[in-house]
Amino acid sequence: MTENEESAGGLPSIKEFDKLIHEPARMLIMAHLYVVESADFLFIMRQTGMTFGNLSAHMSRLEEAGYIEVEKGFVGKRPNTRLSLTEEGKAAFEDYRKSMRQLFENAP
Amino acid sequence: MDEKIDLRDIEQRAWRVYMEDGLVEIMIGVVLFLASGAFHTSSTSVFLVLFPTIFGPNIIEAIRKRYTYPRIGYVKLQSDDPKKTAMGIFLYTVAVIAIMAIVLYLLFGSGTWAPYLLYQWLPTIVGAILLGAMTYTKSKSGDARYYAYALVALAIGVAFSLHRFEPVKRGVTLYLLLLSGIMIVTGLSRFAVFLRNHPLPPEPESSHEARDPSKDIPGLGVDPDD
Repeated sequence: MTENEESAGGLPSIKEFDKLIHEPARMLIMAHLYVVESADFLFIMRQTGMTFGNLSAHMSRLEEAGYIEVEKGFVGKRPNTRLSLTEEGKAAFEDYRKSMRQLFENAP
Repeated sequence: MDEKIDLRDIEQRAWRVYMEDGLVEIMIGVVLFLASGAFHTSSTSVFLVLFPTIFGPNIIEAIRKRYTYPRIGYVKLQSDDPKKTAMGIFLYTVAVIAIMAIVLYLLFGSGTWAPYLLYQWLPTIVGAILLGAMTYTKSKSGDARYYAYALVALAIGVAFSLHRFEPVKRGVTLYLLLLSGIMIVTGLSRFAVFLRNHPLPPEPESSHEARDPSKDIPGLGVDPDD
C-alpha cells in the first residue's frame, strides 16, 4: 500500500491511521472513555482488565498526546485519578473509527 | 479492529457496573413507600415524596462515595439532554394517562366517570409509568432484570385495579406499599451481594513501582518503540 492520500480502490492510506490509538490497549482505554463522561483509574483498570502498570503507562502516552485529561486528587485518604477524553481525543477517536470503518467497508 | 470493540456493549457494561450496588432500587422503594404514606394520610404528605425525589440522587452519591466507588471505581455516565429527558418523561406520563382515560371511557361510558375510577385504576397507571422507566433503564444497561421489575409492577397494578378495594384509595396505598417492599428488599439484597463480591481493594501501588511484565496481559503490553 502506498502512502498517498487516496490509495488504489479508495482505501484509506496507512498514513491516516492514528498509530497512538491503533495500539490495542490504548484503543480499549479510548473506547471506554468515549462512552462515559469521566471515570477513575480503578474503574478503567477493572473494565479493561489491565494491570496498574500497564494502564499507567498507556495513560501517560495518551495524556502526552493531549487525548485524555488526567486529574489527580484524593477521595478521603485514598489517592484518586480521574480520566476523561479531551475534545481533541474525542475527535481523534472518531476519525480513527471512521478510517477503520472505511477500510472494512471498502475492502473486497 | 473497530468491529471488535462494540461501543454500545461497553457503555451498557458501564451502566450495569454503575447500577450493580442496588442503591437505585432502594431509592425507588423509599419513594414508593413515602408515596403510599402520602396516599394513606393527607395531601400535605406529598412533600415527603418530593424530598427523596429531589435529594435522593445526592444521598445515593454520598453512599456510593463511601461504599461503591472505593470498590469498583468511579464513573460518570453520559447523561441525555435533561430537557429532552424531562419532556420525554412528561409526554410519556401524559400518554399513559390519556390512554387509560380513553380505555376507561370506552369500557364504562361517560355517565359513570367518577374520581373513584381514577383511584381504582391508578395502580395500573403507576405500573405503566414504571414500565416506561424500567424499559429506558434496560435499554441503557442491557440488563433484562429491569424488564422483570416492569412486568411485575404492571401485572400487580392490573391485579390491584381489578380487585375492588373499599375504600378505593386503599388499593393504591397497598399497591405502592407492596412495590416499595419488593424494590427495597431487592435493592438491599443486591447491595449485600455487591459488598460480598467486591471487597475493598488493597491500597493502590505507588506510581513509582516498577511494572512487573509477567502480570501483563498478552497483546496489551507497552511497546517501548511505539
